[in-house]
This record gives sequence, C-alpha cells and structure tokens, in this order.
Amino acid sequence: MAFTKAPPGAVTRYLWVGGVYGMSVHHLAELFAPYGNPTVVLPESGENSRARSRRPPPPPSQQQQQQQQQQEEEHQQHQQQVLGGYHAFLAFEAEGDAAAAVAAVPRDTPWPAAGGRKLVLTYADMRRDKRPVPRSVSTSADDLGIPGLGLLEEFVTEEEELRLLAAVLGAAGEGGETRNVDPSRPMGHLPPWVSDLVERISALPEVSQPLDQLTVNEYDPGVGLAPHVDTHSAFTGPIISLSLGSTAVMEMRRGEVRGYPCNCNYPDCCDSQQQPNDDDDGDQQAQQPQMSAEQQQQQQHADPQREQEGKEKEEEARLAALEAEYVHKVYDAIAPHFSATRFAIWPRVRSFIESLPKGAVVADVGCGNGKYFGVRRDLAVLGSDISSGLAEVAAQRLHAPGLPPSASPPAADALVADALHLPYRPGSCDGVLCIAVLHHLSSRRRRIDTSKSAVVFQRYYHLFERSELVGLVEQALREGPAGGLGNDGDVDTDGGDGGAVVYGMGTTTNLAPPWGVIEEVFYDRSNWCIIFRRDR
Amino acid sequence: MKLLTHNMLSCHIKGVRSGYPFLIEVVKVSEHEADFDTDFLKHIFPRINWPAFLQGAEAMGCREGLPEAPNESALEDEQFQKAFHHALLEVTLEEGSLICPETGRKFPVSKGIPNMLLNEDEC
Repeated sequence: MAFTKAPPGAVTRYLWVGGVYGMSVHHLAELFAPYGNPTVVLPESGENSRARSRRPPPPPSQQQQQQQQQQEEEHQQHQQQVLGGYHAFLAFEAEGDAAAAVAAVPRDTPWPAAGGRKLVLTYADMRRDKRPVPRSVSTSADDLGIPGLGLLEEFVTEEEELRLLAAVLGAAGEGGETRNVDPSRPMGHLPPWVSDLVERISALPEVSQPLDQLTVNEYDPGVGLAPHVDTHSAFTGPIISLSLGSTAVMEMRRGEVRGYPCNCNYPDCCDSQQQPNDDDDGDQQAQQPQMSAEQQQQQQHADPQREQEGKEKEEEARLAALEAEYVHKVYDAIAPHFSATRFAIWPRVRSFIESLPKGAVVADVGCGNGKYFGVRRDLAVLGSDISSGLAEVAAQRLHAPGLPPSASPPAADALVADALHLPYRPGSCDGVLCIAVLHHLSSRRRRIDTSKSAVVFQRYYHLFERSELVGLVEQALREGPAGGLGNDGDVDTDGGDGGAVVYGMGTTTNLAPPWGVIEEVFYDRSNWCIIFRRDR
Repeated sequence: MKLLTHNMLSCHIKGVRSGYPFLIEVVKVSEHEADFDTDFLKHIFPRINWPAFLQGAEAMGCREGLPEAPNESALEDEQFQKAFHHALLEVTLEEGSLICPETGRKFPVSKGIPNMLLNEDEC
C-alpha cells in the first residue's frame, strides 16, 4: 500500500500527518487511537515496515504458533520504531473517523500530547498505479452481443494496407503536415484508390448497399476519440471502420454517454429508441453496426499558394461554396438532432469561462445549440453560428415559456453570422469561444483568418495535429488583427502587454512581435485546444 | 435581439467606416422578464456605448427612465438600475431589421435572431 496526498477537497479514510519527526509509531498510534484506532503506515517502504525475519523457516508442525509469535514481535518492533521522516500516513476504518481526527487535532498550535509538536493533517489516498488497468479486449464481435456489430479481420492484405496508406499520405509532399488532395478532383465521387475496397465492402452481406461517404482520420499514437454519440440523422446506413497501420481498440458503451433517451426522428438508427431483441417486427433492419464513423467526404485541405488576386477570389468563392454545400446545408438539415447529441459542457471550456471577469462580454463563435450560454449568469454571451437552423435552436434557450426567468441565461443572444466576418465592434468582446469550428473551414488560410478574429479559446478536433493548430494561431497572431473583433487601428489596450511573448511550444520567431500570446495548448477528449490572448 | 447585443454590433461590410450603431427598424418587439442582478449591471455598464444604447432604446420603445448621460452614482440609484436592466435585457426585437447607418443595407431580424451574413460583394 502506497499513499500520497489526496487532491484538495477529497475526503477519504486516510490521513497524511506531517511534523512527526522523532515520534515513535506507538506514540502516534496512541494519539489517534480515540478516532477509530488507525494503523500507522510509514511512507518509505509503503508498508507497515515489518521487520524482516532472519530466522530460518520453522518446521511445518510448529509453524502456526511460531507465526503468531513472529507477528507479535514484528508488531512490537514496528511500534517502537522512531519515525525518521517528517510525515506518515494513518489508515482509518472509515471516513468519519478520519474526519473526526481532522476536526479534533489542534491546528497551527503546538499539541502537548504530541510532545509539543505542531501536527499537520490532510487527507491522503492510495497511490494510483498509473499503468492502465488491463481490461479484456474481445477479438470477436459475437462476444459483445451487440446487434449488428461485426468484426472482420485481415480485411485488407498488407500490400493493400501499404497502398492505401501511401495514397492518403502520399499527396502531402514536403513537410507533410496537411494531407492535401488535388482540389481539381470533382467532389461527389470517392477517390479511385478506394474503389476496389469500397466495392468489396458494399458486397458484404451486412452492408449490401453502395457506400457514399468516406472520412479518413489520422491519429497519433495514443490519441483517439472520446466516447460520443454520432448524429444519426447524418449517418443512416451501416458504418464501417477500417483500421490501417495500427491496431485499434473500440469500446462500446450503452446509456452512459448521452445520459438521457434520445427522442429523435430516426428510430431506425437510434440505439436508445430501439426495443430489445425480442421485438420482432420489420424494423430489424434498424440494427446498425455501431462502429466509429467514417463519414463526410474526405476532408479537402486545399491550400492555394497562388498569388493572383483573381484566382484567389475564385478559390475563396469555391471554398465558400464547398462549405455551404457540405457543411452548412448539412447542419441546417440536422440542426435539431445535432443539438440533441451535443449536451455536455466540457470542463476545460467551463474553467475558461469561469476565468473571465464578471460582466465580461463573450463571443461564442460557432455557438451551435448554445450550450455555453448559461454556464455563467453574470456574463453577456453573444452566440453566433453560420447555420440559421442551429442559431434558432440556440435562441430557444433564451426564453423558456412557462418557466421562471432563472431558467434562462439573462444576458445571451443568438445571431446568424460567419466566423470569418463577425459583426462586433472593436474592443467589444473580452473573451471568445470558438469550439469545434475550425475543421469546418476548408483551407488553412480560412482557418488562420478565423483565428485572427480575436479567437481566444480554440478547441480543435483530432483531425488536426497539435503543430498545425499552434501554427495556425501563431500565424494569425503574427499577421495582426483582421475584421470582426479588433481592427481599424482601434487599439484595445485592455489586458494587453504587447511586449511579452510566450509560446507554449517553445518556438521562437524572428518576425515582428505578434499581436498576442499563446497561453496554453492542451489535448483534451480527442481535441487539441489552444488558449491565446490578443493584445491588439 | 436585446439592446445589449445591439450595442456590440457594428456593420462589417467591407469599406464601411461609420457602421455603428445600427438603426433599428421595429416590426415586432417582445418583453421577457430577466433576472435582476445589480452586480452584473454595474460591471456591464462601462462596456455600454450610452448614446447608441439610448438610440436603440428609443427605437424599441423603452427609452423612458434612461438619463441622457448617467454618471457612476447613477448606478447606485435603484430607479436607474431598474430602467437600465429593463431596456438592456428584457426588451427583445423579434421581427424587424438592423440598418447600416452608412450604406442603408438592412440585416433582417427574424424570430429574435439577426442575420448578419454578408453577400459575396460585401466582404
């Protein structure tokens, strides 16, 4: 048993006691005996420092008696031991006992009973082994008993795997951070290098239909997707996941992720609406494989390097149209259902929101269903989304008919706006949320421009690597302000100290001082996140 | 759209220099009770552009009780707090438009939601 101090606020049945240097274990045990007779545990060995027996093992017939004697002796030795360190641990039977001890022991004053020592008490806990707890992983779908779930091993040969990986990675060219696909390839057809694979998948008895969507996700080792429920209005047929280049473990959970039943209009694809297996009607078709998604068209990372303005404009228009067709339209169509699958307040976002001063004005750029509107009632939240469908859903949070005003956030509003062209006056916003927005923008340039709109907190899906996210923001900060939230020479000097440059990644730049500072980069629940501050 | 929001919005059409504040064309206004928090009011007050606020309140019919140029001490006055609170948070433009003072371009407001999307030639 190894112990360590418990995190603040935790209450356990173990205590860390400090200031015990020179006390005997016996004395310490005696002091705390009135509180349920805890065991004293010494920190060094992590065990009750049992004196090792130096006797040869006794003959079997006498073993029991000898053992008892041995234990008693060891106990005596243990008790008389003088503590050579400054702290020890106490293991109580129950939390109540530990708490009673904490309450009773004098604080910050010498305790005569302890020989005049000032003891310090705090809760402790068992040291958790950081190694992952091994869990059994099944290699057969039948073991899990999930209707419609299937696992096919060795679906592609090694050769095919290499070929597929090369096709995905090979388009990158030098640098290799973004996987570029030739933008002149028409959208609407899956790339030719999957056609063979797609045909075989479509022919599977479990699938028996043509595939029409493909997503390629690249994961770093150790990185994955947090538990989630996919928007089943968008994914109405079988979902097939092919793992290349590595093994992958998929965990299926029922009922825990969402927290409430989903009353969507897609009962055929909705696990929480399906009846258990005994219900045998024509709807058995509704049992979809629940594997992780491969949806949407392959993400097109077009990053035009062209100089001519005319071509740039054309490209911009094309990208905007692309987003309109494949992103905005989709969200408008699925808005209410999308909303139903997005309910959790991410803790890191919550702490960011809580770090803002009272009366702060926050722009929630890409507010979706407005789930962050009510996190604090003493902030003004201006939520905007390019999807009018989602903005409408967000607006529903503003007034709950029939309920008291305390049921709605007092100072929030929803608008329809483009993250690249925000309508806020300079210096109006203290904080900005921009959560899960950037991956909807189809070029690096557009993402940088969004970041220039004084995006302060940016959460970013696993689709992008950490260096890419940081690179975007660094670039945005170097380029200076753009329209939306800080522009036209109207210098917002609140909270800025222009001169200090701190980069979380340890990178340096020889370019002109950036317009802000990256405060933090972290990975949380499958998302790369960045907090940065614009100074001007 | 609340007047709090209106106070933060500025016309973002490319090249527009004096796009603040938006003029409000009212078709339908509604009122909803909002939690009264004097602390919040005190903190948000310095963020509010007062002339723009008055202009908006005039258009939305809640100008009454709002002084021309309140000073810090006004914030302690309960009458003022109530009027400020009401105009800032409880009156909503449901249907109408926001009009850019420089170009006259109208941004529609429908179901309380302003649509601030720009046309291709405006950005």
